[in-house]
Amino acid sequence: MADFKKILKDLFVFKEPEKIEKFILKENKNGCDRCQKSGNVEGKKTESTEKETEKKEDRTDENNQKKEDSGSRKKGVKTTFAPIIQAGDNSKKKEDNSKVKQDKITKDVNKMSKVSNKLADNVAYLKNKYTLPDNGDVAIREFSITARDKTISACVIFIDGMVDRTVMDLAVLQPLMLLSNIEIKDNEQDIGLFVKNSLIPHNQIKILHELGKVVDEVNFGSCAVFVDGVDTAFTADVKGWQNRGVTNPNSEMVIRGPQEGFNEILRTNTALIRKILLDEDLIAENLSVGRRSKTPCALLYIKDIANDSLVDEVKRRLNGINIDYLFDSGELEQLLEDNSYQAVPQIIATERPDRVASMLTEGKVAVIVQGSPFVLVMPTTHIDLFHSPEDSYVRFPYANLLRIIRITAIVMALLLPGLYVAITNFHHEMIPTDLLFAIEASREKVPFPSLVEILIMELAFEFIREAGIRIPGPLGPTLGIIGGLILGQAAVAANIVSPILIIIVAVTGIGSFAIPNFSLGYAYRILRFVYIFLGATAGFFGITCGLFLQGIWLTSTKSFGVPFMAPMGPVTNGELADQIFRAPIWKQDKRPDFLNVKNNEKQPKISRQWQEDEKKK
Amino acid sequence: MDKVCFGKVEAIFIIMNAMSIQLFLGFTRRMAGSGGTAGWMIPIYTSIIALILFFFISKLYKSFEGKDIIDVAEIAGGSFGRILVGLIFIVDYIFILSIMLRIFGEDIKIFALSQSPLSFVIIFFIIVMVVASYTGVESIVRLNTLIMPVVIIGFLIVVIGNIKFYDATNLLPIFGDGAYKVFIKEIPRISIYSAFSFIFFLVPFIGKYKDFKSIGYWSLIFSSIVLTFGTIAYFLVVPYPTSTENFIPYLHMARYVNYGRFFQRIESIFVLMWTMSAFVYLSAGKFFLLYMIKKTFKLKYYRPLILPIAIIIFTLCFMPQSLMAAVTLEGEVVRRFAWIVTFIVPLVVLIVAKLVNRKREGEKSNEKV
Repeated sequence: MADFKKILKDLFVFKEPEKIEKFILKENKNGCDRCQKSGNVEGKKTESTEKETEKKEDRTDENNQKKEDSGSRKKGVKTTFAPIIQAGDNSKKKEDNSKVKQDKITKDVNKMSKVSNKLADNVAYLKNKYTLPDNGDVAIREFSITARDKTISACVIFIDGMVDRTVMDLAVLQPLMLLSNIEIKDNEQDIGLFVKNSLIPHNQIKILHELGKVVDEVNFGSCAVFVDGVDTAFTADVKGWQNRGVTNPNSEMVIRGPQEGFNEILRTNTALIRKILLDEDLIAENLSVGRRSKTPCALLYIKDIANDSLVDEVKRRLNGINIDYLFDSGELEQLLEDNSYQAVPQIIATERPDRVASMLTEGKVAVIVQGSPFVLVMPTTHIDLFHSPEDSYVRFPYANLLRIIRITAIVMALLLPGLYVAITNFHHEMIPTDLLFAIEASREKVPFPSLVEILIMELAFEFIREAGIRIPGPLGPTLGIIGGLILGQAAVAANIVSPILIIIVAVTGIGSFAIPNFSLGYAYRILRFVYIFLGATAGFFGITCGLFLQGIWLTSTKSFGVPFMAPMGPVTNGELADQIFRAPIWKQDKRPDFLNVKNNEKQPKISRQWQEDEKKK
Repeated sequence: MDKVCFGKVEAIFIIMNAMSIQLFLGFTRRMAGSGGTAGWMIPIYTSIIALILFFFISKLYKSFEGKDIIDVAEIAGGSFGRILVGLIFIVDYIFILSIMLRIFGEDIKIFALSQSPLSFVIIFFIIVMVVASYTGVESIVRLNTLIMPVVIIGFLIVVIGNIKFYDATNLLPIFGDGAYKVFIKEIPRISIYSAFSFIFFLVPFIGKYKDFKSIGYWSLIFSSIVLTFGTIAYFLVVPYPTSTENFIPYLHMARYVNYGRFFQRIESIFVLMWTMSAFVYLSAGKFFLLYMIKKTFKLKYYRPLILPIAIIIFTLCFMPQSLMAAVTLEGEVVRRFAWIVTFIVPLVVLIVAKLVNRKREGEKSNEKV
């Protein structure tokens, strides 16, 4: 009730608008700022960012540690880490001061942020952090490393079920426990570096000083190794959880074209795109969303095509999301989109790597979310939602035919029931006389007005569609078909609805399945009912009113600074080679103008050089 | 509002739509009544007069790039000038919009919703105008760019669909009711281009002077072509004096289209397209009215005025006693005298503003010396 009053109040009482500067997709000036700034490091940035920052931290910490430990350096140990305590020495000291130390540890553990050079402190911190032993799948394995005749205590922490045990045993534990005593021809005296360089033969090792980062790594399937006397932790990427393989996309099936779809693993998905775009300028920046879930996401763009302000805006929105948990890209889509009250989606969600790659080459930006097989691509226009991935793979006459059929199907799905109600109630003169007799004859015995008739059938169709999703196995689609047929036939036999209405509803339903974009299908399913009511209220005039209001609504919407009805409303300068209709692929020279990309030229005017050579002959 | 801008094509289409919408109402009937069989000449020579007037206006406007007519009036006469000119345009727009709203509503009632009360029909227009005003001129202009090709196609279908009824003898005698009546007495019919006043409020959204000129010229030329062509097509189909009797001429022409069993009686589809055009015209008109009020009285926001102005227009549109009274007002008042507000007032304001500017520049140069 309070919400309703608030809505009425907002409608009638003027509220001063907030002074927010809405995002505008800026035009590119000369040059590629991102290229100039980053140079060659960009491609490796995502993998080595932390290592570089950690190295910097290492150096500052080393300097600090040098000052602290200079008084207690043992002979022959050139290390900035804490002095290595000989085997057996610790135990006596521990026995003597166990109680005092225990108190100190329990007091200090909560305040720890950096890795301690005392193994016991680190273990205590981890046990406290992971609420051990209550947390049953977190394991801490303590062991000893014997290196250069010294026995050093160490431990490894991992989450059972998230790691590949074989890799961990072979690449981490076995070398540390068994092989560490092999004579290694390395003069490195620094234990920390010695362990990293010689004792953990794993391809992805990170050296971390911050305990928070260690916990994040462990949470995401890495194992962390702590060594007594070393104030860093070593994390190894040993992810090995169960996951679905790369299969066919479920929602965007094509006859012609790749049959691979994304799965739930972030790195697999980025690899699927990189497999298609073998371009070093394709950037995959890592981000995380969600305070607790810290869901890893990847932001992809091609740095010398995508507009910098677009990339910055997407990053700004991603970094500005303040939630606890993020489970799926669908939630992220709702958090990123410009207008949540708009019926149509402003971001494309797709399962196909080829489609994402194609949109990246146009200058768009993609966001991949760990745990979701749907990748978000932005910005989008209304026309993009009508495109199917197959359009580029078939010859252009077939592609254009498919588009015409698709647009007709979409218009039917949206307007056909409303038009039927409008014609039967207000505009009888439009129907040819014979058809009019047929309709009247079929509707003679039906006790309901056409509006009620159509609502009954549309609702029944929606129920069947929704129920079909929930039924497992092969029964689901079968039930949908049979339910529709039987229900329709039974309804006609019972004189609840007229036969012509079954055709109307069937064509409407089939038309809605022809909508390539899943979300747009839902939008038009909702709007269809609005048009039914408008048609029943005011005939074609009401439908026109609805179309105008929908048009106004769509033209006032933007998707990441791009007008939603571009390139027709507003009219943009660029070519319309692949908007409503598709030109032959060798004629699609330029990228869409409304994206304000850095490099507008997709291909030279003569892209089929072989034809030019033939002409010269 | 000031940061919104749109291109030439969009501006031309919005002005063209505003000037050409009357073709779907009683324009051709009025032309038949004014000039008989020579009524089709009226849009041509009035457009030439309008082009000449715009030539002078555009020359004077060169010094006021990016300023609308209210700003120019402020330069010319200070606050008094601004309010006076603003009020003239406000009254003009309220009057025209309320009459046109009444006519649109009555026409819809005639051929689509004969059983429904007039207020019910008009409320749809009001809702559309209110929603469009909230979204702003940008969305109205963009939507118009999408709608115009569809409306033009619909218009062409009606014109070409009636080709089998064309009879060139319907255009005889060539000068209709006489050259004096057609070319001299009907000069005030230049008011058929009264919607051209939109351009004076589009200037801040267009920006460049060069674009202002080309928009003005092209919109007048295209509108005159559409109006002339539409009038000729009607006269070719319906002979004089029957052409003065059809209340909504193009509706009748749409009814005449008959190709086979299925392509006939297409006036309902024609209504769809015609109504879209009407929605754009009314929405744009209302937006510019709000814009004018905001600029005239130096208000910070225009949105609080949307509902009150809508209610005022809704109330005023019921003031004419009947449809015939509204049509008479439109034909004999609006379409005879609106040219004064559209062409003469801006001309006078621009001349005065130019003189004031020159005087100020003279004083400045004297001070420097």
